[in-house]
Amino acid sequence: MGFALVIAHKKMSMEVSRVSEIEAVANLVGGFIRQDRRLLDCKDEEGVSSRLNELIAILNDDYISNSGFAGTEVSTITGSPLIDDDEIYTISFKLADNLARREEAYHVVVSIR
Amino acid sequence: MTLILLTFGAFVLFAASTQLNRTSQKMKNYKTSSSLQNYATNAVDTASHIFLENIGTYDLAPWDGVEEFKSHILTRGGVEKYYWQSFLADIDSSVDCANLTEAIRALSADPGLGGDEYTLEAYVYQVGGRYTIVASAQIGDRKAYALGLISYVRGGLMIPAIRMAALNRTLALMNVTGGHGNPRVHGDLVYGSAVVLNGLTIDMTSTSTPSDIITGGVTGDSLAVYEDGDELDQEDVNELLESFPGWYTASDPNISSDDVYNQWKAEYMELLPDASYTVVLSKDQTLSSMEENVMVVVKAPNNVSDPQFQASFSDEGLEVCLGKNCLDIPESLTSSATLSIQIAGDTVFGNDPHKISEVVGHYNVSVLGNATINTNIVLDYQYDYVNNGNGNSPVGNKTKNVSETIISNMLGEEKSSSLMLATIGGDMILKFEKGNSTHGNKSLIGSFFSWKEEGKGGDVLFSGLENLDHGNGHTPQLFLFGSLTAYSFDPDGDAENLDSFVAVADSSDSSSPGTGNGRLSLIGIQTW
Repeated sequence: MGFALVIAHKKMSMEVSRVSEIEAVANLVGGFIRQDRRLLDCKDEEGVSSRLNELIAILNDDYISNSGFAGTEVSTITGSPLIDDDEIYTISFKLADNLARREEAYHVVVSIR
Repeated sequence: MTLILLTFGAFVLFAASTQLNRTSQKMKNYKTSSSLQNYATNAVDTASHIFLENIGTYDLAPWDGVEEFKSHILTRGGVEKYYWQSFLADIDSSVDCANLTEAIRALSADPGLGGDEYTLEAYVYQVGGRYTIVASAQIGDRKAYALGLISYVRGGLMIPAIRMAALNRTLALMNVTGGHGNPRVHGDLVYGSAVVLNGLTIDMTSTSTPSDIITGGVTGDSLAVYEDGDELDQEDVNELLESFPGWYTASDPNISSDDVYNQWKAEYMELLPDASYTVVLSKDQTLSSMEENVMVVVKAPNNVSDPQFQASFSDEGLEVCLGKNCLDIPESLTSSATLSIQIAGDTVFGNDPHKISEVVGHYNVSVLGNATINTNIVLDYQYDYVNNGNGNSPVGNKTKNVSETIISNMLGEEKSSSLMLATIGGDMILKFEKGNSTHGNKSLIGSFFSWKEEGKGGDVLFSGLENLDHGNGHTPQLFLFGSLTAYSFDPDGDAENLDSFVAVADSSDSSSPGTGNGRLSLIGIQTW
């Protein structure tokens, strides 16, 4: 019974720390995307897509690790129009937790109107 | 003994796992709260977008839930809740608003709005010339609110805020360093367009745009760009500019910067009346009448060489003195007509860099010599933006977002006074001084010109910047609302200690092309 509890203890400890870290990174990345002036100044879906490709590199190369979360990275960012006018997008990004080996998806809405 | 140890160990592990289980539950709650806040924020973005697309078409009605929203904010800790309470004082359950709940619920299947798992609401209130948008996301009995502010900002203003043949300053993206204990606002913002003929250098970041520094674009013969501290090569600069079409306009290489500057000067000189009336300051006098097409020329007696005039604006009018002899121009003369006045010699405006000279009425002042600005010059209808009555300046040392919000309000004010202040054959010297309270903030409101004449003058110079404090919210800043035209800005390099330069083009400047306050857009979101 003791052995089983030790295993449960370790698993739950890891779970708690990974959940808190990935949520913190999600907030950071979400805020970063919302405030990215170049994304907000894009003219169309092609521009949004192109900027998102740049953002994934900016986030993974410097921003996330410099913020103290080296174990997490953005695996994908995609943008799709929320309505037909091509001026408001749902930006979906997945955060890969390299230590816990799992991915979580998050979504932010950005208007380029 | 072994059994006792095993039992003890089991109890310890059981207690620890119970605690962990509790912590894990808290983390799940945190995750739920985080998701709620994210979807409430997304709802604000979505609702504001839909609202701006259909503005003017909504039926308005009160929303009962606003009181619950205000109570929700008040349950949050910290002094901030009182600021938000004050911010929301204009809206309550009796105020009409546009209900966008149905519009965003129609989109709630989108993953950005929670994939139909959350109950969303959104309402938009008009408060003055701006809009406040309140949205919420709810799951079970848990609810998060987000508030957005829609205002007139970014772009639209194509009027030049600064016109220079040479600008000896790298315009850097505005930001705040130093943290809460010692905040230091630095960087520059030109709200409007700029003409910098002999090369402009901007210092930005990889996530900012050139229009974060100069909103309306720039005209010049060359542009150097630093991005995150590294200078871009010409190819990268060209690539950057291709991403922001219309922001940079190359000046005509066949016309020299001197010719362009002289053209600006000729346009100004055209505004001066041909006829003039001379006042010799040999005794105290009061101007009893004036005509708009007759310029009042203030001179020293013939026996005074190199006169040093003192000029003071106040709510009583304008006073120009030479020693003890003064010319008083009552405010009543300038309330409905523009007084053109020329002072024939070096002139010091004001007597304390920390004080405010309030301009009431309409003036076109030209100085034949140097004009030293030893005060803050503020038009009456903008006075409260420079001094809020408690000794603080709402426009001084603010972050870019706050500056843009205040600027938006300033542009919306009804104009009751105006000022053009020019040097002809002299420099405009902006005097700063270390003090106990206002430190290094210089606010100038009006149209300012520094004209070169026969090789003399034409510059904007700085005095006293070297002794000023930096940090604690009192970093040296020049805040200009109107326009500034000069041959060169800080040719001596004295303004290195000027942490921030904010120049705002006044939308009412009818002498320049382009009007309007920009377009409505969502400028910020706060989530609880």
